[in-house]
Amino acid sequence: MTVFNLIRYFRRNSSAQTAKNRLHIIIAQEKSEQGPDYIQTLRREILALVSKYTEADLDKVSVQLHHKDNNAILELNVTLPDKVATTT
Amino acid sequence: MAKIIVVTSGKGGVGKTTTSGSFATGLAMAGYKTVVIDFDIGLRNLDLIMGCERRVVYDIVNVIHGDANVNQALIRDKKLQNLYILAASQTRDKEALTQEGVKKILDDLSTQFDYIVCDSPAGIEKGAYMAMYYADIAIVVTNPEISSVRDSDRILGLLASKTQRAERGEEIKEFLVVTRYAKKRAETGEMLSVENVQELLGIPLLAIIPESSAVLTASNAGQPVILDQKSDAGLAYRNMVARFLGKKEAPKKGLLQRLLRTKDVYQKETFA
Repeated sequence: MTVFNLIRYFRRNSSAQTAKNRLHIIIAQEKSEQGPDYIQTLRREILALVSKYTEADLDKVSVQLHHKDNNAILELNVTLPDKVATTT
Repeated sequence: MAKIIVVTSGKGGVGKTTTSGSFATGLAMAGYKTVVIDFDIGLRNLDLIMGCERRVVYDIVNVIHGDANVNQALIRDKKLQNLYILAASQTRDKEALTQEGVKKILDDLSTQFDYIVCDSPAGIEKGAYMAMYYADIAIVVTNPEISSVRDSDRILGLLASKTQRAERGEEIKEFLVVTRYAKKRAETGEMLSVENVQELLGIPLLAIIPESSAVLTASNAGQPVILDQKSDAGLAYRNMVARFLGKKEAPKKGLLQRLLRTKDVYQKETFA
């Protein structure tokens, strides 16, 4: 019975958890875009630039704007694919 | 020249985006180069259903404003080589879609694609008109539910008057897709039957998509439900595509089920 519950626990969580994770990312991104007008353009141009020079998966690029005290911090995260990372 | 297909309904939440995503995916799986466009400006969701929300760089409004060309804005599907997505913009400006802008995009895409699937927003505002205006074929998504059927009827009226084909006196092909259908409840008289809906709307039936938990699972994961080999909804969408293309459908599950199957409500004709 416990094994059965365990299976159910994992099965039940899988897709809703995926949805939650995806929403976290996309909502954070859309919030950051509500900042100054140029942020969205900046984000777009960074993404275009990254995809121009690397084979990086755009899913793994995040551009986020945070606010801390009186400063705005622009955080850029690019995960380069293995083969690109080793050749450059 | 591509065929332009609008997926519309009038009412919200009936399954337009789910249908657009799965139908476009099915056309691409059948070997046709297909693009699916989200016309829901300000409330884009097709990118989530297709699982490409993080790869949106340029959207349809950027193309209309000339910030990017249409090929830069197309997002290629991860799995299918000949499937592309054009995302809606998140701008609050409702007038962002212009008729000339939409025409130019569709003209550009027409030369490159076999099918263009336009996912209409709910309602009868500008986005919905823009999605339907240039369509050759309309897929009307309806729930077996009283307000959905009435809204679909309203949409049929608009298709017959507010589209380019209507203005030119040409025919626009209309097909019905009934979604969220619970056969048992229809049999016990709790729910409008497909026959009822079809009789009320008077257009040929293309597919019946059963109410299925697989639809939610698929949207959670960002994978069109048509790719779900195990679910009845996935099978129903695969059959929808086969029927649309005039091909043989996948066989129904069991012999017993086939023997017990009631009157076939589909009309025998080729749609594509």
